[in-house]
Amino acid sequence: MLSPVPLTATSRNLGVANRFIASLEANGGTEMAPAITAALVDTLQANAVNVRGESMLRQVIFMTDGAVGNEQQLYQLISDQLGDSRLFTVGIGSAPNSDFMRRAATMVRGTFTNIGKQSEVKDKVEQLLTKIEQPVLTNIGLYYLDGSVPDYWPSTISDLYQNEPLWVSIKSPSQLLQPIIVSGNINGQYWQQQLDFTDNQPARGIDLLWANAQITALELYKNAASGPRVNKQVEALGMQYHLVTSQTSLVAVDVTPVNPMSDKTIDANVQSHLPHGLQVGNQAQILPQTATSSRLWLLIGFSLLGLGILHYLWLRQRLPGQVLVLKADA
Amino acid sequence: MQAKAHFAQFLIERAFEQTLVDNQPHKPWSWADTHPVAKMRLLQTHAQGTQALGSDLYVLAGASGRNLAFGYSLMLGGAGVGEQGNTIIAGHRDSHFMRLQYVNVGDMIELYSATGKLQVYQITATQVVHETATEVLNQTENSQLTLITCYPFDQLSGNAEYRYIVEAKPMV
Repeated sequence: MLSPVPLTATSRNLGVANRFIASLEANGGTEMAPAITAALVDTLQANAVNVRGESMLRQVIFMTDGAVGNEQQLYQLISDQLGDSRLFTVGIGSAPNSDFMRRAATMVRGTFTNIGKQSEVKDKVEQLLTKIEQPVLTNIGLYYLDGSVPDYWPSTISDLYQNEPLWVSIKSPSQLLQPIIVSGNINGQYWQQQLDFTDNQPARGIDLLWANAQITALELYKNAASGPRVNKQVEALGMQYHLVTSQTSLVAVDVTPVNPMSDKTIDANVQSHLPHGLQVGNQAQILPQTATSSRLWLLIGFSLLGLGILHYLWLRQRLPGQVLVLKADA
Repeated sequence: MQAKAHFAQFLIERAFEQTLVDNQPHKPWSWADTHPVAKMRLLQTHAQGTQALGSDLYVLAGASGRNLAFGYSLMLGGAGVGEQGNTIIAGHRDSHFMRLQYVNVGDMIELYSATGKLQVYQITATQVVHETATEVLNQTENSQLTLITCYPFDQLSGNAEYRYIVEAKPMV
């Protein structure tokens, strides 16, 4: 361990940290519990103030490239000890248990970053650090004017960072749309904004956003004990809102009538045609070929023979006409 | 081919006579790959009685194009001569079976098997079918004689698409 207490980010301390990291030897296994415990040892001072007396938001980054075990124990540890801190999980490669990482981060208003390739680590971590440097709105809550809390999903709203929208789905009866108050802290100061829905136009698909958010939340907190119940709830939501979920899928059914007169069908054998160009050499396929062109050949042969005889006679000048012509000349 | 069809019958007749004597198949000529299995005679029925239509002709085993050039041919897929079932005999329309165009329903057909046994058939039907209508070759429970030749009879070219079928039932 580098230090049991948080250190100020001075150049000297950064050098010490770099040397500590360089001396680390990986020996397999991901023990998350000691790391979490060590990082949160001063939970009681979570609402610490900095040197200038401003309250600080503590952000813990958990980065691993290994699989994480004993998840239930870790959930308990995180919810007990993390208090008002934020946990950001970063998984590198395919080994980390992304379900656990996402759920652990969402429980305490953090985010989960999955990094597929080693080459992307630098970019993704820089993006994450740039983002979490600038929390704009923290401890976001929603309530009606009369103080009651609407039914909203996701039930824990993450902090709002620079250039990010606030995205919450609320379900309420359409006749009783009351103004909603969004509250939070900006730089330690209380902030609130009233939202009126009077001039909003109805839009399609908003109910699907709500259902999707609820399904995501249900599945986030699914465990072995609640599994069957969560599956049923997800199935019911999927059926009601016509969504593709882990329990439901869309099936296309062709309702085009294939035969509109199916009650008056006629059974008949249709002659099976051979593929174009296929010669049937098999005698069993057709009746025996019981005709030859013999008479045609005989006709042609005798015709040619007759022509030949006529030609011979013509050459010999024995045709009747020729004899007559010759006699006339003489 | 006409001459071949005519003169081969003399050689085939000689072989069939030998077969009748010793009951062994004989080749009509030494390089032949077939042998005569029956002798067939068509009898035309007149008001005055019956009269043979043309001369007696012999039936060779196997309806290949080569055998058909020499005489009638028995289709080996059908029943043998004198056996139970559908006996199928094919012949060329421009030589031996040219006479089929003169037969009528009710005429007789005499068929002598290689053992010299005589079976008389009476023609029950004639029909024209397409060459793919192989159902006329199907086996039947009762004895039947089916004669096949090409149709129409006076066509000159050899690529006939239709077949003239003569069906005959044995007379008891």
